Amino acid sequence: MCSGPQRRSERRILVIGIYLADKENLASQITRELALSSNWDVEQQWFSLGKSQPDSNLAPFTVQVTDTFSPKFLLLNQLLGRIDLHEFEYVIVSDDDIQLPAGFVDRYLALVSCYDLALAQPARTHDSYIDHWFVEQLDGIDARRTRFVEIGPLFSLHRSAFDHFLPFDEASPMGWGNDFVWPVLAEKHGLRMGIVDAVPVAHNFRKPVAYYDHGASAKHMSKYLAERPHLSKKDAFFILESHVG
Amino acid sequence: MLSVVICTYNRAALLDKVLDSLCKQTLPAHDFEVVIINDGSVDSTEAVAAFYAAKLPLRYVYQRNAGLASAKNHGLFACKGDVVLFLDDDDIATETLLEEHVKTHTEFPAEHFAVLGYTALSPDINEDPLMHFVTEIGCFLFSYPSLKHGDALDYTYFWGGRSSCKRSLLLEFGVFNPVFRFGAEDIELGYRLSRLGLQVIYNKNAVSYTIRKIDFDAFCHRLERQGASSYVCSQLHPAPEIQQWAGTANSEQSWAMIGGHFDAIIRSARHLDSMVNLKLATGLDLDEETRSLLYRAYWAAFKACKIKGIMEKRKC
Repeated sequence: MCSGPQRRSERRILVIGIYLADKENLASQITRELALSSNWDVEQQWFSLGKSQPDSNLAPFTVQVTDTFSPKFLLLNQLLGRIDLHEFEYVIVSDDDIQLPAGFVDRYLALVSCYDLALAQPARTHDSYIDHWFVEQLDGIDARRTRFVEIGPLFSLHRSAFDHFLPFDEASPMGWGNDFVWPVLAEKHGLRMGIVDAVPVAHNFRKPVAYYDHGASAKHMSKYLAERPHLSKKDAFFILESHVG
Repeated sequence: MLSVVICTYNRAALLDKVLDSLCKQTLPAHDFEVVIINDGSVDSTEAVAAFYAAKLPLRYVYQRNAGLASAKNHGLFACKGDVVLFLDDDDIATETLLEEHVKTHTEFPAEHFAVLGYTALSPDINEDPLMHFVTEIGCFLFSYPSLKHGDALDYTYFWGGRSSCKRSLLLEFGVFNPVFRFGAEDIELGYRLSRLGLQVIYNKNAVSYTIRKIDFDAFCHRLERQGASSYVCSQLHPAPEIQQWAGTANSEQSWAMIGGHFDAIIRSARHLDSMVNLKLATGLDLDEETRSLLYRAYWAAFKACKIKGIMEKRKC
């Protein structure tokens, strides 16, 4: 059984993300919700990608701006390069097109902490776009220890994982395939991965890969995976342990 | 490896018999595993599972009650087999059940082939008029009479509790829709998989026996729930074949005709059912005229219950 919400102390978390400034996005709502945490001191650093200027809601959180397209994980590495990560208990990486439930940070991290998940993600709601069925919310449980955490739309890393996962591997700049390599890395270092079902996020605002060449990315992913140890889908989409509070 | 996924809710006594039957399989124990999803039971399900954990390669997982579709998905993700058999918690396996499923999958190794086994009534409920009616005459529970061994069937035969499929097919192309807490979750998934070529091979030698006698009122309730689920399925998939399968197309007209008489239809069938059971319990035979009357009453009552379920869901 997990204990109740943790007290705010000196514990800090870092949120990094990228928003598409010229496209409709939910970054304002996301940053607002994330800032509402009662239990954590949340620092947010977002990258604006596009020609439009950050609006007044996002400006305080926007630390870098570019109008030249660059892959997601290269931009995330640029953000991470500016920051001393040792100050933070968790890093949360977020896309700009998700809807977070109220109290997301406190509820999500309470379960992540409780089950000692060094690499984790919230499940996707049933009405989300689903790339992998495995990450859709399972209704009867709070969380599960898994061998798979996907590269988006939101995932978290505990400080115990920083040295092994950060900076992100730029051999897959869009991140394709990382989620099948991460479990190998996590298991090598004795880190637990998991999905939090009790605090799912809705990912139905923009269709995934709508702005990318899906065929090319699949080809790149195959090549990327062929060159490094990784899990098959059969092995990755497996629940090691189910948690009910 | 074959994974047997059993989702269960408050049926510890029946589960005990199901697990006992799995201890006697001709398929070697190292070639299968049993995954039990306890869907929020408050009885001794956990203790039963613990007892068999020493006898079977068994994994026990608990979840809060979330319904059959969610439980099946949980089982799918908690199992390791290349093939997954969804077995009901009130169906006991014959000794060769698992071997027969494996045999057919070996014969049909392509991912899009599923296997349907045969479920009969256990001898102690075989003579029950209602159980006989719903399996052999009205086919409200199973519909085997028209099937032949080796038939390649469509998605409407992807019946939960007695079908197996490749785990990879579901992982890649679709899982059960958790909106379905009871009924229609199997056919709805089968329909989606049919677009990818799902075919269901019938193996009459893959035999299980259903051991739970369902009484008249319980079966009425079951059909109302199935009607509701069928309606939900028909709303998800507007294709005419699904509307036909769900029986929703003429439900409004049908309800207009029978709705006012629903209580009388049920009462009449219930009285007849009680009378027949009393007769049988006292050792009397059932004459053909009474049997025919009873079946007509069952037919009318169960059709009415399904339509009622559809109409009530439609109103929601």
